[in-house]
Amino acid sequence: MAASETRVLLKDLDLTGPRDLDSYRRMGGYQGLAKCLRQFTPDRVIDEVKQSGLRGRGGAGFPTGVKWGFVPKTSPKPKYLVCNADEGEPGTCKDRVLMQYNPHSVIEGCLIAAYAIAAHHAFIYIRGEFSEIAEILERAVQEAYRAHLAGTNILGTQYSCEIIVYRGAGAYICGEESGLLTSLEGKRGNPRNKPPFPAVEGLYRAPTVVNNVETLACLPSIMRNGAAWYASLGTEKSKGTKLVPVSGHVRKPGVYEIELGKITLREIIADLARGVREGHTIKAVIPGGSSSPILSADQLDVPFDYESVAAAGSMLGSGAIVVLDNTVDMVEFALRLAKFYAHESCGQCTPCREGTRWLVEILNAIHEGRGHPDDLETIQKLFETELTSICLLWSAVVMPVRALIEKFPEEFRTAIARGTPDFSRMGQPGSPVSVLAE
Amino acid sequence: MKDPHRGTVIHPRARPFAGDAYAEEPKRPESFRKPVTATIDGQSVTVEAGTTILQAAQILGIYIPHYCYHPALSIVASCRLCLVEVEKSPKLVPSCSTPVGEGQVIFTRSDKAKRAREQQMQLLLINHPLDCPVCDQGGHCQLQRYSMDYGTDDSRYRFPKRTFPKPNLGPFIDLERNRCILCTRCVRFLEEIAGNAELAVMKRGNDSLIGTFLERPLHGEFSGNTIDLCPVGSLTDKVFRFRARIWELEAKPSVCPHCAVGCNILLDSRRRTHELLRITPRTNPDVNGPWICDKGRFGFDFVNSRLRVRSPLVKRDGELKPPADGMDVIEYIVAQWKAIRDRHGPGALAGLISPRKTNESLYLFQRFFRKVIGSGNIDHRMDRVGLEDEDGYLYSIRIGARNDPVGEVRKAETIFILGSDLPNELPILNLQIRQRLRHGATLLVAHHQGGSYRDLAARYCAYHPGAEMDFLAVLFFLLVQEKNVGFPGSLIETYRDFNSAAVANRCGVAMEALQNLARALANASNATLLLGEEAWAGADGIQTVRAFADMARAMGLFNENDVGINLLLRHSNSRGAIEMGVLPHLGPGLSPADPKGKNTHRILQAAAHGELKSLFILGEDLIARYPDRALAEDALKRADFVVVADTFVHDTARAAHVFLPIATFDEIQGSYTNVSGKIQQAERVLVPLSGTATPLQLLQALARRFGAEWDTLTPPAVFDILRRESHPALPPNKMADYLPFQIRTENTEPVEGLCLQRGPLLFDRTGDVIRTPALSARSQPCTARLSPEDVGTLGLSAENSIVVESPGGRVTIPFIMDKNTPSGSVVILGEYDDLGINRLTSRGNSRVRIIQEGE
Repeated sequence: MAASETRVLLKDLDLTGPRDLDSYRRMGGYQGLAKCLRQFTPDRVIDEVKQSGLRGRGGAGFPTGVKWGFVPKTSPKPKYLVCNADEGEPGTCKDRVLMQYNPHSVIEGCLIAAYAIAAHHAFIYIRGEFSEIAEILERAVQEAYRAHLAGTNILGTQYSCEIIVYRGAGAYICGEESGLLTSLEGKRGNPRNKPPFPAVEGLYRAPTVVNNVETLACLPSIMRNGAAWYASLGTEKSKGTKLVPVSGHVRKPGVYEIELGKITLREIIADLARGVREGHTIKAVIPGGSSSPILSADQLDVPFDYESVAAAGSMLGSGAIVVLDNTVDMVEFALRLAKFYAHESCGQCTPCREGTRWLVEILNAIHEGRGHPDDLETIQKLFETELTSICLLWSAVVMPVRALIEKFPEEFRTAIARGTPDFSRMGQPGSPVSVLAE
Repeated sequence: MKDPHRGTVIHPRARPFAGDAYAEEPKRPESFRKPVTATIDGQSVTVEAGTTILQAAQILGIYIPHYCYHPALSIVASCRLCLVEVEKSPKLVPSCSTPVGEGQVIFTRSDKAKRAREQQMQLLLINHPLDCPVCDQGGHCQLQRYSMDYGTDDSRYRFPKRTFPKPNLGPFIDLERNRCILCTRCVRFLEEIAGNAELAVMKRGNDSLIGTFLERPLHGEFSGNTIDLCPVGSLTDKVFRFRARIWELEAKPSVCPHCAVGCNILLDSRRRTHELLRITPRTNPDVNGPWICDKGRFGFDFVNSRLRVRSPLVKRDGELKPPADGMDVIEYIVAQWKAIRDRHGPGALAGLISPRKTNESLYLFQRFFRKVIGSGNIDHRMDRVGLEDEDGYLYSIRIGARNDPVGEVRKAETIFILGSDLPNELPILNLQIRQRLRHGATLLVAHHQGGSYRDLAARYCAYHPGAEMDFLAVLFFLLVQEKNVGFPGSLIETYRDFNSAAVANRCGVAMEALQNLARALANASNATLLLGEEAWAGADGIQTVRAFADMARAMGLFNENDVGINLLLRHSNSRGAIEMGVLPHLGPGLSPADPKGKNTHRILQAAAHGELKSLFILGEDLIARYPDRALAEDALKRADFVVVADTFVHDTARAAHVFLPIATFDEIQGSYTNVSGKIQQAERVLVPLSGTATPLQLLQALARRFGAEWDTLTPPAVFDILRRESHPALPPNKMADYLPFQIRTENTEPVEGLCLQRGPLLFDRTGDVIRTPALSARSQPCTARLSPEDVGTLGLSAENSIVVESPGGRVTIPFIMDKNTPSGSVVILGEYDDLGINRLTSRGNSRVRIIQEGE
């Protein structure tokens, strides 16, 4: 029997347009929030989320309830909740589906999270390119305000929370949580050094929780149905369902929802996305967004959950699967990835600013037939600086490119050999390596 | 008082790098409570919690290389050069931003840390042009230094280097982006310290570059400090560029000659070519910290000017010419003075000296006039017209004013400034105020025009020109009410029939604004009161000081030693001139003068009437500076014998019978007393230009020729004498009670025309500025500011200049419409020696007429 989806977040999704407040409420919407506000203390909400086993869906997979628990309760400063809707990683397109078709699930999730951490401001930082979706969200927020689901005295309780939709200006790095906060403060979106982590010193140096859209959208059903229900889904350490955008060389790309650990990568590709095109074979798969290390075709029988994918040498990340078939030139693919990250590097710290461009130069040279026998060693040495940057953007390019070279070394060696110049001509005008002599 | 330095030479290569110099404030003070002990490279160190690894390592004498970190700036930890290994930490940590943790074991020189540093150095160099041979930073470059100490000798990089276009940032600073390592120290300095975020990182990733909005030139007052902060050769000194290599220079400590703060500086000179080549700040936490303003840094090239006069000049056939062969000019001057003294008595001679000269020169000047010539007609106050000998400043000393603005501002939580446009008067004090504001201090300002603090101050009151006294009278009245201290008995007479609303109306400030200000002052903790020269030097100066002191008293800012008011001065040695007794009625240490004499105004009046026969003016262009230009011109024209000693031939010099060229500030050893009374020593950097003499040499030569038995006095010897004589026996707080003051009762209704207001401007065009190309290029054009209403009423078109006209003369200048200028006023800021603005204020006039040029 072919594996199938398990729909929680995407349940009864109507693709004709955004679900409005009335139909959202008819389907049980805002009951979770009402239960929180009327029956639960904020600490109880945090406990529920801890028990549910929900892990952050943005990429790192950190337990959500634990993250909330880091917010210092005694701090005299205001607390902030920020919804990270700056979805921008190549291959990842899951959050937009939620915001576009079910915006109230995100808003309700924001309010539950804000209540749990005693925040009275929730910001939804949405990438600027999603202008249409931002409008949908803004309209939904207005609906929520009109229905007293946001603003002062929500649902007639003592709890008040403002929701602000803030549009970014088109930088991938603003999806990195500290870069996002800096951008939200109105500054250039440079990531910050950690520690201090946002939970202690975030937006305006006040305690802040940054959660991904999908994470927050999980909260209404957890609150409505209880932590035990959610924990019954998935595996021991990977609870619940996960949105999985599948793209690349498949016949039916799209966003699927699966129960974690109950389906393998191969099943997702073959059964949900209908496999690769006729006459082609899978060459490799990126299992968790463009920054996760690539898996080769023989590694696909791994159950799709955090631990199993990590055990296979990659990471679940955002859950975005990119399928590459046998037509892909891995050097070109590495170059394309490197170019993306070089373009999106904020440029503040040395290894990433200089390293991303250097990497592009080398890969470009190899790709164009100007490779040098030392190039792979140079890349390897360059990658030694992986953990010296401020944020993870530099790692985000090092990890996949390193994996590509490790898994497909022959392709790189062949490309270099094709371009290895005649060293007897070295230094002469027009020689590809004339720069060496300069 | 401290003994003067005697011959300190700081080798350029031995001086600390800007980044290593000085911590403005300890970082993260909120956690400075409990001790933390850690081990760094095998040595144990205990620091306060919150101390970073880099700081803790410094305590142990372990140097950790860094580019972006600077103790005075916020921490970004972006260069990644200071990475160290911490046991049990999977990643290397940036030591500049990571606080020491209890029990941590830290390795700054482990293989992993060293390797990381090598890699960062390699990455920083892959796009650096390595154009060290033509780079001004060569020889004191952190990139060179770290390449030697922490880098490797090869690079694996084999691609073309990234290049950027070169912008023009104005006359002071050269930006070479290709050399930039994006440490952002310059960006953070301008934003955090200078308060004008003119530089920013533009674009992103590998295209990131330092730039200004639309590539405009820099306009701040402190941009030069970015040159010191830049660890590489990206921001270099345009004035110094290509004139010398760093190792040719000899640096000596000196004191900035421009304003009364007396920033500590290093003068870099090259003896071989007798040139002063560069000025850099000398860190002094009590005065300027590690910063100086652009005027101080770039305002020196006049000393190298070819226009400097190199021999005495004597007037023959109406023109100044070198003396005839064999003529002894000193002998000639002394003979003339002796003849005048014999015929008309010593009171027919008078001397005026610039308050920018050293204490030693000022002291000998007054001693020469009083003891050798026997005349008490001396003064140093040449930029204001005052009929009285006493002024607000001298009065403040008598009542025991604190007069330590530099020290007070440093620790104040509330700063109230009355009557000073500080950013244009004492820029470094402005910088310190901005830093205080960053730390949560409150700024309250009252000024008579659209001053620079209008946007920065929590409360800003703009009163009518000259209405300081009215303003203070109401403010004090409201303050006493707010403080609820009971109305002082000694002031009941002062406030008889006082109508606060009417007086507030007369000074042009809304009652509500005054009330808010009074409330802010009443609730202020740790307040500092600053009184500008405009307020204490006016006709009501003494009354203003009395009212100001009363305010301090009402706020509790007094003790048995002093009363907490701080008067501001403008010139580099104004305070020294007072303490040296260059005053008509007071001698050294404010002792009664013997003999007494006339002040500047009375000297000039007497000379204009032919009663005073000879003037000796040292170091000042009196005609350009004195507000009553016509009187100064008349006086010099009418006097029988005028001697002027200065660096250049200016209007005053042209009116002289004998001109004596003197040495510039870099060629004079001596001491200066700053606005806070701090006596600071400046060393002689170069020998006086041949043919010139120091004021000290000049005065001694004149005295000896007069037959005075003056030994050969070196500056230190004079300092020893003046230290004994001139230390003012300051009275303890003499404010036994509130001081009564007078409130004018008459209404000063405008007569006709517009009221001309003058004020200081940092980048104006005085004689020295005109002869300093960089400063001249930076100087702002002279403009008249007019209110939009007046522009409308007068029907002025912005395309053409206007003629500002008074009975004393006319000037043609452009105007700008300024909504902060009160209607009925025309504001002309700054001194423009080439335009002679003070023609307009001749004969005490303050009214002008404005017509469009060409009408």
